Formats: sequence, C-alpha cells, structure tokens
Amino acid sequence: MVLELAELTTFGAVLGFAINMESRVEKFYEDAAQNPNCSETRVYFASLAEQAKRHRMILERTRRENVAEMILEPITGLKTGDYLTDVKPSKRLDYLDVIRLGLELQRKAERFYLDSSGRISLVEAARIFRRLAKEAAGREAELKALLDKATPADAVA
Amino acid sequence: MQSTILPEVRRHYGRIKNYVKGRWVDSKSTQILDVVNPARAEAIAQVPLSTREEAQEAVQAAKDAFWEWRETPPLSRARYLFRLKDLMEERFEELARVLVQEEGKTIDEARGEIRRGIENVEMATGIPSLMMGYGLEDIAPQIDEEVVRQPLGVFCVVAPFNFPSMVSLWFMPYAVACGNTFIVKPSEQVPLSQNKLFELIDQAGFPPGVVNLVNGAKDTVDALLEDPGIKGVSFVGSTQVGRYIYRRCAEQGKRAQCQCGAKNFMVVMPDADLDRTIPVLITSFYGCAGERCLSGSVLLAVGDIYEPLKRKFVEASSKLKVGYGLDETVQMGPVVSARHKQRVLGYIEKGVQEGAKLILDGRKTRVEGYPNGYFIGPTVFDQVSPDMTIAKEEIFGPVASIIRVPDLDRAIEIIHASPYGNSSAIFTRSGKAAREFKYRVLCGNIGINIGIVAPMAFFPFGGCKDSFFGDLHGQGKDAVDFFTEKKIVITRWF
Repeated sequence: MVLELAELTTFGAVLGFAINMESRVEKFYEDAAQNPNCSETRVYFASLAEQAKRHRMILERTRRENVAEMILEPITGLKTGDYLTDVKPSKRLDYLDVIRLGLELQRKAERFYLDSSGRISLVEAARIFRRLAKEAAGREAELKALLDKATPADAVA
Repeated sequence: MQSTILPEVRRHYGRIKNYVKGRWVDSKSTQILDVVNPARAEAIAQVPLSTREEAQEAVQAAKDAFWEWRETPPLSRARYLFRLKDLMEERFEELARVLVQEEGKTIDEARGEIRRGIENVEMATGIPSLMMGYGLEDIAPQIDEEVVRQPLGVFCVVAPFNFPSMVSLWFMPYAVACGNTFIVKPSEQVPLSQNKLFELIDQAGFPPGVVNLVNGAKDTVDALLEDPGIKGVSFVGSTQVGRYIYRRCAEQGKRAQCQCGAKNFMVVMPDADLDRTIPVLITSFYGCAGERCLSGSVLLAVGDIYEPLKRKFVEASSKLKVGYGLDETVQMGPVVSARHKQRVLGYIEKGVQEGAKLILDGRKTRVEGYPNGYFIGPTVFDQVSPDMTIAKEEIFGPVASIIRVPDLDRAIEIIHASPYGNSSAIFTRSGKAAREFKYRVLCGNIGINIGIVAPMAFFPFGGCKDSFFGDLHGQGKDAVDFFTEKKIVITRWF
C-alpha cells in the first residue's frame, strides 16, 4: 500500500511514510534483480532489496517501541512531495534508467531521513533516522560509481 | 495527493464474551449494550452486562486457581508475562487499531497506550527481584528476623473508558506476578481492547482461572465488591465512583487503590520558552481529545506572558487536524460517546453563560466523511475566573480555560483551591521557580516543562486529595506492595 500524504504532522505519519518508502525501494530492487538488462548486477540489487526490507523492519520496531506519550508533539515542515519518487516497475527498464532511478530513490531517502531526524523529539527514533540517512548516502555513492562506469551500450534495453 | 486511512481490523466484532477459568463463555445476561465507534457513530460490537452470578463465578474460578498459582515459582510466573509481552509485540498494530476503533483516540496515541501497557508487563517480569523480602541475623542472641512477601488471593480492576488497554496492565501483571489471581472488569463503553488482550492471555497459556475477564457495569462491580473472595480492588475513573468503591472496600477490610478525577493546571511563567512550550501545551490540552486524567485543563498565565501565550496557544489550537484516528495525519480524534459529547458541550455552554470569553469555539467542528462522529474541535476560553464552573470541574474534553494571574503565589493558591490533586505543571527557565513549584504544589504528579506528567511503569502513578483514595498507587514498587502481604518471621533454633 502506498501512503500519499500531503504533510507529515505526527510521529506515526512520519514513520508510516518511511516504512512505505522502504517497501517501494524493496520492490524496486527486487524487480531490478529480476530484470534481464541488469543481469550483471543482479546480486547487488538483490542485496539492496534485502537491505530495504531490513530497514522496514527496523522502522516498524522503532514505531512500536518509541512512542512516548508525554512528548507526542505535533510535527511541522515535512511535506511528502519533497521526498516522493515516481517509481516505475523496473523489470523492463534499461540498466542506466534503473541506476538513475535508484540514485533518485536514495537521494530522496537520505534527505527525508535527515530532515525528519531533526524534527522528531524522540532520541532513539532520530538516531535510527540518522543511521538510515547514512546508509542511503552510502548506497547513493555505490550507484553513482556504477553510473560512472557505465557505457552508452548499457542504455540499450 | 489524498489521505489514506489505516484499515480497521474488523468492521464489527460481534457479541463479546467473558473469559473465565481459561474459557470463553457467553454471558446469560439479557442486558446488552452496543459498543460504538465514536468517529463513525456506528455499533462495532455488543457487550453483555454480566449478572452478579457470573461475577461470582469468576471470583470462584480465581479462588480455585490461587493456591496452585501462588506455589508456582516467581520466575515461572514471570515467563507467562514474557510470553504475553511477545504476543503483544507481534499483534501491536492490531491492538492499536482496535483501540482507535472503540475509543476514538489517534493511532499514535493508541500505539503509545499499547506501549505503556507492555512496559508494565516488562516491569512485572522482574518479580523475582521485586518481590524479595529482607532479613537480619542476630536481632537478639541467636535469633534471626526476616520479612517475606506473600500473595493474598484474588484481586480485581475496575477500569475506565479513556485507556481501555493500558489501565488493566497497571495492575494485572504485578498482581499475577506476585502470585495472586485476577479479574478484569473493563468499561462497558470500550470492552474490545481487553477482549483482544485476553485472546493473547489465552495464547500465552496462563493456567485456567489465573486471569479472568468479566464484562459488565455497576451490578457486576457491586458483586465483585461484595464478594468476600476479593482481597483488593484497583480502580481508575471518576471521583464519585472512586469514593464509593473505596468506602465499600474499607467497610469489608479489602485493600483499595482508587485513582480518580482531576483538574490539571498548567502554569506558564513570564520567562517560559514559548516556542518549546506551545507544542507541549497543545499535546497536554488536546491529546486523547482531553480525555486523560493528566490532561491540561486550566492555563495559568503569569504576568506579561499572558498576551503572547494566548495568541500563540489559540493559533496552534486552531491548526490541529481533527478526524478519525486511523488517519495518520489526524492529531485529535472524537470524544468517546454521544453522551460524553453532550456533557462537554454542556460545560462549554456553562462557560459562556458564566461570562468567560469563548475565543476558539470547537462546537461546530465537522469532519468530512464522518458526519455523525462525536467530534469537538479545540476550544479556548479567555477571561476565566477561578470561581467559574469550567475552572473548577473536570470537563474531560478538548476545552482550555485561560486565567491570568499576577505571580506564582497566586497560581499556586488557585491550584490549592481545587479539590483535586492529580497533576500540575510549570513552564519556566527558572530553576528557582521550578523548585518552588515542585516543593509547594500539592499534586501527585508534577511536571517541569512537561505537559502530560505520565509516570513510567517503574514509578508509581501519583495522585492526592480527591484524585486518589488509598495508600499505595498503581505501577512500580507500590504495585508490588499493594499485591503482597509482608509476613514477619522470627526464628530461634535450640
């Protein structure tokens, strides 16, 4: 299920958005791993899908364990439009498009986690967000390296 | 872009049952109430008001289970609670969504409530340490003395509507961990959360009769109060009912801890950091639609902070999104019932009649898609005086009353004039003012820049004056004291 919300004003809405974002990332890389145009990076994409799944589980646990009643204060300044990527099914995309879309996903995820970590007053949740932002940045660098290595022939579907 | 609402677990839960002696049983009662989703104003279940005989059967089942359970080693008893905790984690989202459906709070508030319940279960798993007695050798030549803690028998809880899942867990885990057996009587307005919890209790495999569930209302409670098999009662609810239960228990020599009504004052000093304070106040006054016994109710603005505080508070209040709690963007849900809505609206009308200035009127709030829901928007009264009804009585709704006071002394005077003593908070950057507030104010739960002074599981839930009747509070070590008898053993071997 894709949650599309105009503004993330509650702890639950922020975590819910993050969980759905990781689900979309997971599906994107699962598709990429099965894409015949990406056969050489199949294992890598499968590992990214697995990582997104792990993130989703971390976020679900964070949502369960960190709701602190006494500081459930309204959250402002997080608009979903700033972080959503139009994710297309990647089973038939060409290799370069998969990498470019992957890059876009990681950039948005990193930005979302960094912005959110500064607006959530729950220390443990903010710490998890900073960690996920760092991991997103790492994947972004890896995908950038793949993009730099790619040749024009890779664009052929 | 459109809002997406989390799915309801079920649209209708049918007629709910009691859980006695490890079995789900239909009540024979002919008195049946609808359980209503307050956002939709639609029935989502039916609850029987169990007969006196059914309450007595539950007591008998708990009595029958007691001796074997008390002989079960504390660590083994704790393991049942570990299993219950695991099951609550697994079914966390389901528990939270059912809670939203029956009570109306937001999904975040519901998750917070489930978490608080789990924390009490976790706390009670430490019973092998918590329940230890103490001793001293040679209190006289070759004579030793020790204290052992022993369970007493059957306890019960009479729970309120505002925290349908959590409140029973302030008591039950400690009671059974100590070796007692237990009966839960949930509020007849919101019995589903306990019904769900008992599904997990059943799965956790507690021996039959150790934990029992009896749905019902006053007759059911009276049957429990009158039964000599009940050794103690935990209650959370109104002062009127709490006083009644405390008196009935005292007459029969039962233990009782009654956490009752409240009128909570939030004092904002001239030096308060308003940007940090306003969101805290908003959560305090409007969280759970003001239906917390710890909710802010009266805003005492000290000196020059009055104008900017009023302006910013009203501005923030007016921006709150009201709606169905399963929508994750919603910040405040409906109140629990049509009757309760009328009660809150009555207080607003009373405020207007008595001359308070209504500067934010939540009475006309409508939520798209939920035309019949029991919604009341954030409501703010200004120019309230301490003798007005809205400044004195517990409203239990999203209504804030602002009173301007010249100094901290006057603020404390107003707090002390209230018969209640549940919670009060001060917002300040002055350590001196904070210390004075903490030192002087006669309330059970004091907040310093905290709007909802909700004690964690490892601390007792405070309360004094008409907000609490009893000696030992819920949660923490107090709970262990309440659910155990201290037995002294003095030993001399010839």
